[in-house]
Amino acid sequence: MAIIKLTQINKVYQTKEIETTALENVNIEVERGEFLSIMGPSGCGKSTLLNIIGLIDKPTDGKVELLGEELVGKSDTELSHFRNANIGFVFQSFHLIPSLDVAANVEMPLIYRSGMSARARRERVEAVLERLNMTHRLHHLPSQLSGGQCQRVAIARAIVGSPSIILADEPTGNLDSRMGAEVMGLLHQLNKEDGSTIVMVTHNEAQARETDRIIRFFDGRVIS
Amino acid sequence: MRTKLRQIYYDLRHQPVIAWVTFLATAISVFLIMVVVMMQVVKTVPFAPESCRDRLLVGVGLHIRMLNDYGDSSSGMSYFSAKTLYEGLDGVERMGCFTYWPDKAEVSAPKGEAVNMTLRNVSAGIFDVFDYTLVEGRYFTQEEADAMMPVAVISESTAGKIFDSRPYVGKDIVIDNNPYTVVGVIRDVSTLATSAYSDVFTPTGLNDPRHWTEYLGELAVAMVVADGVDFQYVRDQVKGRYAILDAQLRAEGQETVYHEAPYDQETIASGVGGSNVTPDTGPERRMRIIIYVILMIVPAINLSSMLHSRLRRRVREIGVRRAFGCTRRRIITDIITENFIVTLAGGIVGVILGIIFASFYSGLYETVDNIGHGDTPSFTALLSWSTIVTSLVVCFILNILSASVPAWQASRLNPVEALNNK
Amino acid sequence: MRNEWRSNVWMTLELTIVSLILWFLFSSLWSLFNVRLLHKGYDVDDLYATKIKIVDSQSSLYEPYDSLHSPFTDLELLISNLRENPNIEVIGVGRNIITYNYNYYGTELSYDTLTYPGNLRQLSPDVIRAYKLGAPDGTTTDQLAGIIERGDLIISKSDYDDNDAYNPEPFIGKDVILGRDSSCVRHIAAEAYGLRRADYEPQRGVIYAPLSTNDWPEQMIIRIVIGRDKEFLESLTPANKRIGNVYLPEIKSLASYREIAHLSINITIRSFLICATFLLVVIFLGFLGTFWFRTQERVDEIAIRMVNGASRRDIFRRFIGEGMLLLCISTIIAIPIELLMVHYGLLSDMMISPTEITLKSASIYQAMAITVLLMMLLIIAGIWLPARKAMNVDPAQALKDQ
Repeated sequence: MAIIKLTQINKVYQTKEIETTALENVNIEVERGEFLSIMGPSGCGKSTLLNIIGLIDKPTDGKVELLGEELVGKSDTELSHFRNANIGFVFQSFHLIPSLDVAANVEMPLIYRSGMSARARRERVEAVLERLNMTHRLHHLPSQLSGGQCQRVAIARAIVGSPSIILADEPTGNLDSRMGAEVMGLLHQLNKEDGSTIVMVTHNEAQARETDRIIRFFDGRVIS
Repeated sequence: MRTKLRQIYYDLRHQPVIAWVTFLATAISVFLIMVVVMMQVVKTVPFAPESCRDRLLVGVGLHIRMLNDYGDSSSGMSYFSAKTLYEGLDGVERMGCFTYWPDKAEVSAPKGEAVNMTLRNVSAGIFDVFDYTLVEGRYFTQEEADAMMPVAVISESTAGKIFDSRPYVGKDIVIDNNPYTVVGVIRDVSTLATSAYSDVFTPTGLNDPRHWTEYLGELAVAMVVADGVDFQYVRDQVKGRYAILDAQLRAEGQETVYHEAPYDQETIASGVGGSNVTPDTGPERRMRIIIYVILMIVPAINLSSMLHSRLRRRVREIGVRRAFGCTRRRIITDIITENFIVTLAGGIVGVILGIIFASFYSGLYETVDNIGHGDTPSFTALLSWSTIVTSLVVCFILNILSASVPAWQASRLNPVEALNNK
Repeated sequence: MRNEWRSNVWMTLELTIVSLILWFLFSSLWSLFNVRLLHKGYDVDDLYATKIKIVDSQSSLYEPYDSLHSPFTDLELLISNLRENPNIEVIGVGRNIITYNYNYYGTELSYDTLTYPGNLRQLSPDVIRAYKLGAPDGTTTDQLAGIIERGDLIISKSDYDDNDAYNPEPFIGKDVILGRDSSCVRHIAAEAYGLRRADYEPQRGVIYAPLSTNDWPEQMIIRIVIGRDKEFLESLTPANKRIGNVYLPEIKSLASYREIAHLSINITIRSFLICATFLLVVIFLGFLGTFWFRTQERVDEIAIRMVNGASRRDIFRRFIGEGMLLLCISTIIAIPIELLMVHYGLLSDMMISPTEITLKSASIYQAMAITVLLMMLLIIAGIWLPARKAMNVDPAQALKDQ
């Protein structure tokens, strides 16, 4: 069964006079454990699609089913809990919280999970950072890290709550090629070892080709 | 918690002007509220010798009206009416009579230089009601007072001013050109103890010739109500006693007018007015509440706008948190908690300043008879549990007032727009 | 921009609330000061006052009198001794003659259907001389003293409110009944200024009456030679203060009476001033913080303006101008509210004003002016620093950062 199932998704942005269609009749299914890339020119609706899958944006109409659960029309609180349990985000510009150190940044999603002791959280954070070779930076602030290190921390944050879906929005866009390759390696490793489902938006044809499937977008429509 | 504190520190350090404004506005707001609170605390908090303030009731005056409506008269009570109205009430532990509005008297050693001191005529019971500290001798007894024996209790500093050497007890003293003998010396009383304060105490009793009439004189009654006894229960009995006095007065073509006596400390503190009116604490209480509201609302608008500015710098953070599953309510409670910590820090400074100010600056307290000695209260009287609780409550309200709107706005941020914020 | 619009609304709201409160505080204070500044019509400098007491006849220190002597003869001797003191100019005695004293010895004058209520001050002619009491129509102190000397009355106008009952005019030159005893008919010869009870209280109706020879004068007022306070106090001997059974318990300057009489009102004035200072500081901090933040947010805008030819002074003026605009809007909102509050008497019971506040009271308009002026100063002070910072933006650097 598909872990992500989008049916007849439309997204229209309504401003005073202009109506902009960002997505038009998009149907996508992603299988559990799949690593999917979404490609397309800027402004074609890739990010909007990713946000809709990530439940931080709502489609104008259509159905969003994740893990077999119909999620359109759920309350904001229910969606928040669902995101916390099942979805991890990796952003192009990392979006680490500048005022928190590495450990606290990674810990953040666990804080919103009820019934987890501070000790359990710390152990989990240390385990994840160890896996990503970042234990030596535990108490550094993001401003003291390199871009590659930042994205590792961001990935650690995305996987710390063991979500089944990881959404990556141009994860290598702000990195040089060597660091980009390293991050890609990490994503592939997560996909293989943990069986995480990954949906990645990218501009990089080579990186896209390494993934299981590519969906190409143009003007809000899936073209392949 | 440590993470939170570190984050607040980071956040404030990166916007120093806004941090200082927030901190100062909180501190001075809390400071001024504490000054107002303490102006009231000084009037109501128990401290020696008025340790009984919580259980203290004072019957101040007596108002008598002619039945033919020709006129009325009111003043303090005579010892006789004080006894008739207030002696032996159920639930009252101790009682004594004293001149409510103290007088000034010329006091000297015989043939010595005279000094002008505050004088109160009291019955022996007053030494039971208020816990003066006797440093020499004894208090006079009611037997001595009823016999109008020329005995006096004086304060240590009064004794020091008129006598050269100790012991003071047994020395002759001239009070308003009447010879007395000192029988007791007490430790000086703070002028903030408006009922208990005096430099010189002389006896009054049944045979005091200074009473105006059989019923009217200069006296008020102070009484300590037993723990757990309702003040209204005492008042109801007093009302009954007024009826007894009325029975006697009607034969003379007069009757009393009852003004809800006796009064508790809060009423005394806000001023009992004349002896022919019923005191009302309402207007003063309303005024105080208005002051509290002003002192909180105005800085709260500022603090709110400062918090709003601070949060504008954290829009992306809020977006990320929302993406990782933080609910709207959690955003609100987190911001309010965080702001509470900042408010509390400012508040603590404000309270400390308030206490220091209140204990060193006497210009804001009403003193006994407005003689303006300018005593200030002790730290211990000010730093009571009620002060600490009040200041916490003030900080909390200030926090809610200032943080709720920005927090609510932050929680309504669209996560997608928040993440794309530059 | 939307966010700035919102913060402007908040700041306007804050300014409006603060200007309402400041206006309330200043109206109260200003009407107090207006009363204080009123021409008193008498002189309280170089005056000393004391009670005149008699030893209690029960006391063992009481000296019994023979048929030739009485407390009155003792007092006469005491005064004539004092008059020999070169530091003393005038000594007057009477009842209820000390100005800084809240006693109100109420009585009324009446003839036909008219009554005039007033505070009865019974005095010897020398009390008038001691106070150098004057009259609105220019009657001299000596003429007034002469009126008391021949046994006639003087009354004063009451500024307490506009009530016709306090108009002394119909009584001048008339024979009236003093008090309730219809046999006590006296002539009112003149109007003089009224001895007030405190400087913060307007003149109330005062009835000056000669002290009758049977009445014990309870108070004494002494005018000393200007600047001779120290000499005067040092020159007083025990015999100056006591003759027979009559004694003067404490000779204090009127300044110290004034201090006691004003203690309570001074506490209120102090509290109001503290409150006003606090609000102005809050305004200052608010503008400092908000405009600091705006400078940070608007670096780009400022840079673009500069590139397009705005001078540094223009940038500075623009910031100050924004603050002034907010003040203008809030003042425009606040003033009608203030006038309505006065019109409906919403504040009358809370204002500590000694006179009734109406739309005709100058103090409410003076208070508006002071409020706007002070707020303007504090707003400029608050914006100053951020505006300087904005002035010093380096356009090249700012645009590069963007």
